[in-house]
Amino acid sequence: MIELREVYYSYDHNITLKNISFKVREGEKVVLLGINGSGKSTLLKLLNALIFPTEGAYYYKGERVEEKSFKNKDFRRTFRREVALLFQNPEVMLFNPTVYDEMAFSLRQLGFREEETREKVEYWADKFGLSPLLKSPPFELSLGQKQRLALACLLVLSPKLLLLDEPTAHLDPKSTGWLVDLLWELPCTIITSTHNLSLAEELGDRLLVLGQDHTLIYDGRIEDFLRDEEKLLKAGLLHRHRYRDKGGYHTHGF
Amino acid sequence: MNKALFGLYLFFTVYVSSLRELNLLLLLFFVLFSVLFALKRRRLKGFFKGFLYTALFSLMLSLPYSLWSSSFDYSIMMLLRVLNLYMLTLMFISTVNLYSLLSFSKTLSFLLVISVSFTLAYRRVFENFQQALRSRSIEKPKRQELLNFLRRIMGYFFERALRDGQEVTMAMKSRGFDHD
Ligand SMILES: Nc1ncnc2c1ncn2[C@@H]1O[C@H](COP(=O)(O)OP(=O)(O)OP(=O)(O)O)[C@@H](O)[C@H]1O
Ligand SMILES: [Mg+2]
Repeated sequence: MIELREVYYSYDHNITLKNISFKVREGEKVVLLGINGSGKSTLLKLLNALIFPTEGAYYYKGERVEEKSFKNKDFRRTFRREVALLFQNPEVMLFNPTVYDEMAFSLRQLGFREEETREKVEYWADKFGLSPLLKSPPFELSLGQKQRLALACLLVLSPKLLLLDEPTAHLDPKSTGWLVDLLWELPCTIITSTHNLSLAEELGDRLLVLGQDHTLIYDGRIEDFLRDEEKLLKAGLLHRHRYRDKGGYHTHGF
Repeated sequence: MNKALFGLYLFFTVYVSSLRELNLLLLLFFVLFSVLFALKRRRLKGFFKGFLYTALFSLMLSLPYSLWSSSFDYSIMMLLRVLNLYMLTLMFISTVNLYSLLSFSKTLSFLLVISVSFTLAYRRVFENFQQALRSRSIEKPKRQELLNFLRRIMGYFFERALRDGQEVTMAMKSRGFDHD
């Protein structure tokens, strides 16, 4: 469904993604793991075509995605409809006067009739526990509620490729569990970023790991990676410490 | 040579930040503006962007006080001060590497880092807002939608400026700074 070929990306002069190549097939649930600053958010924005590779190429369904592809109206429409990104900071996605308008935003743009819009919005609001809030302004919600709302806004469109940037960062354990279950129910391809090792296993079956050097240091099954202490250390996902551990070192995942 | 320039810069910085006279501030503004305009013709684009951001920040930080006390002199004075400082700093940075010069003073590096990271942080959030709108828009947004978007951004930055402003002030106080 998507393919990256030797992609590099730099902000000004700082290289943030280095020689990244991988393919994702339709329906896969992929977890993107990496420590702070490794370039997870940057990679997801690149996959959402908000930024474009400085070098290398990105293909979506066999078509090359470049800045000039977006001059083509049909391509832009299809791409924006099928590929959705949940931003790390959900607040930046919310700007409509009420929760209802927020969820109806894209549907109205697509020209759905108001009844259809209402039906879809109510269905997802109910699923996300947002029904009592439909009339409130989004900016008054708690951060966890904002995160759920932002995701609901994307799901009303039934995207084909869902990109989630730390979707559980602001959720309590109960909501996290609920979200994990929901993600497995969805029929779409999903790429979820996280720096949480224990959550990685629950969020997908294939793992991509961005190293501290901004290259892709692992691509494969999650279980194999979790058993490979050397790789874990290289990714900066394990830390050694002596605290509360008489004698020798003691390693820990996050 | 650098130290002498730095001394001059510091002197002017302190001078400008203690000025309360609107006429004088305005005069300085025009002088600095013309000098910069003459100097930086090649890179004016970045200059105006920074200029605009700085102006917006300053207004966001000072307007609440002005509204509260219903005197706009304060906002205008702060705006002119900040813009003058911005231009002074720009002139100075374009000739001297500020970071390396400041390595001898913890306080100054601290202040510099705060202000730089502050503006950087805001700039990134702003970029993120724009990207989110682009990401969610299947069609070109209509006017009403754009208006909602702009209203929200202003609201967001307003809240944040207030919150961060308070926090930075408290942090500075706890480190022994006092503001006038
Ligand atoms: N708009 C920007 N301009 C310049 N540099 C940026 C920008 N956004 C991110 N960076 C830099 O790129 C690097 C990677 O950032 P990114 O946000 O992709 O990391 P991340 O893996 O998502 O980290 P986190 O876990 O903290 O979210 C960081 O060093 C960051 O400072
Ligand atoms: Mg991130």
